[in-house]
Amino acid sequence: MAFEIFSNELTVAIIKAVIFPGVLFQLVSVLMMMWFERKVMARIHMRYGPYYVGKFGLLQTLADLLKLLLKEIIVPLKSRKLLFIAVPVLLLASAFTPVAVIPFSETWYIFRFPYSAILVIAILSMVPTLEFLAGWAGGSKYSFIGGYRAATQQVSYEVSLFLSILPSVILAGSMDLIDITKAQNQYWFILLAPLAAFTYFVASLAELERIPFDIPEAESELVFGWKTDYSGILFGFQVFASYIFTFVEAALFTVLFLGGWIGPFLPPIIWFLIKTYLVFFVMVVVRAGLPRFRLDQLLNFGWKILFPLAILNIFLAVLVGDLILI
Amino acid sequence: MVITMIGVLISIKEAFLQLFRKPFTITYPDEQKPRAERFRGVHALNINTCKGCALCALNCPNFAIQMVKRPDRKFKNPQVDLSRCMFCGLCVMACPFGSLTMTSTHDVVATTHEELILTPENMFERYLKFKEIQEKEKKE
Repeated sequence: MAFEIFSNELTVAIIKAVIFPGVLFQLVSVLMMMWFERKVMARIHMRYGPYYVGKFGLLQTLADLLKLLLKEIIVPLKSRKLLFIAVPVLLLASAFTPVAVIPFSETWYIFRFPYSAILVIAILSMVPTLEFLAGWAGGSKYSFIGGYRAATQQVSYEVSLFLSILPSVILAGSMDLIDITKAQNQYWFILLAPLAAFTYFVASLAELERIPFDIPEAESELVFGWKTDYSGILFGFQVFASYIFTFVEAALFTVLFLGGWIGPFLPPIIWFLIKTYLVFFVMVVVRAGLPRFRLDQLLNFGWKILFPLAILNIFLAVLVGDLILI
Repeated sequence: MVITMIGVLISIKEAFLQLFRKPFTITYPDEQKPRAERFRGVHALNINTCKGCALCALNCPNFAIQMVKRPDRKFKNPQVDLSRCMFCGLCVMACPFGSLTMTSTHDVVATTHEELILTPENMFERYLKFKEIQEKEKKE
């Protein structure tokens, strides 16, 4: 009887959760993403970047992780202690969750859910709350202002992000990420809805607080935003969470606009990873090339340009769907 | 707003093109920039030509040079304390036999004060090494 609980399907799901799209792969992926980002940024700045630790500096990020693990965790006297420690853990947990529904190939996903696009969005919308709580729990003015800015920015860009997912959903006629990918066998949706891809990309940059929109952690104004008071592995958790979120948003872009695992010759999982890291590469180039926007510029751009464009996208998607697909 | 967007696109394009350029910096200990011809680095001493006249010690403004007697040597030889030396090169100019010279080594790292004191034997080793390097460069 006891063996029936661990049915074959469940065992496979656990293996998936622990090894490939799950924890172990994400750890390696985050370390490699950090290395890749530092290397590409360095070449754009005409430097070498990580060089001495390991071949091509590949182990540099692992050394950084070890350093963070060995460092003391300092909890400020004036902070709300339980919340202060709980937030990074919750952030990391909520970063791992959307990986479960992302389809790496037609059969390789942890679980299937008819509204998986909504699920990913729901988890992403938890992030501003957690970041605001982190800023509030820190008990210093810098982290509070950082948390406040994070909430402002993310709440206003969430709307455009969610609206620019809708064109793909309309064109595919389903909210299941697997069905959306399957619907792109003929045309990738980036060809049918290029404007939606653009709005999604910009909004996701703002959601991730990457450099053109890194107002919540502006080093020259606030020390390090809502992360100011964190040290040791609690800080490491937040960095890990932000990179896993980057992976998730890049993977979602791949699924929604770049046809997911679809591609010739190579196995589907390899295609999926190539496309995802290509999106990440574009994010890195954008980060290296642009300065930081001001908060009012950001909000103006978000509400006056991105939001109307995102609504326009939905009408365009309906039109294109009527003209081309049917 | 349109102008800003065009500027944003241009700067992203520039950043992308920058990827194909060679790095400006060098990987320091592995490859080093060429030094100037008369670069004043760490001292070197040809023990065989040194006659122990102590002109270098007399000329040193920081009193960094001390004359020491070694049992196997006929004359006294200079010993340089690098923690006092300011690499002015007056000792080298004063040497009438041309036996005290300066190499192109500039990075001196030590954990104790004793490691910073250059004995005559140590400086002779440096002299031999520097000579080899110079001959190699001449051939090239």
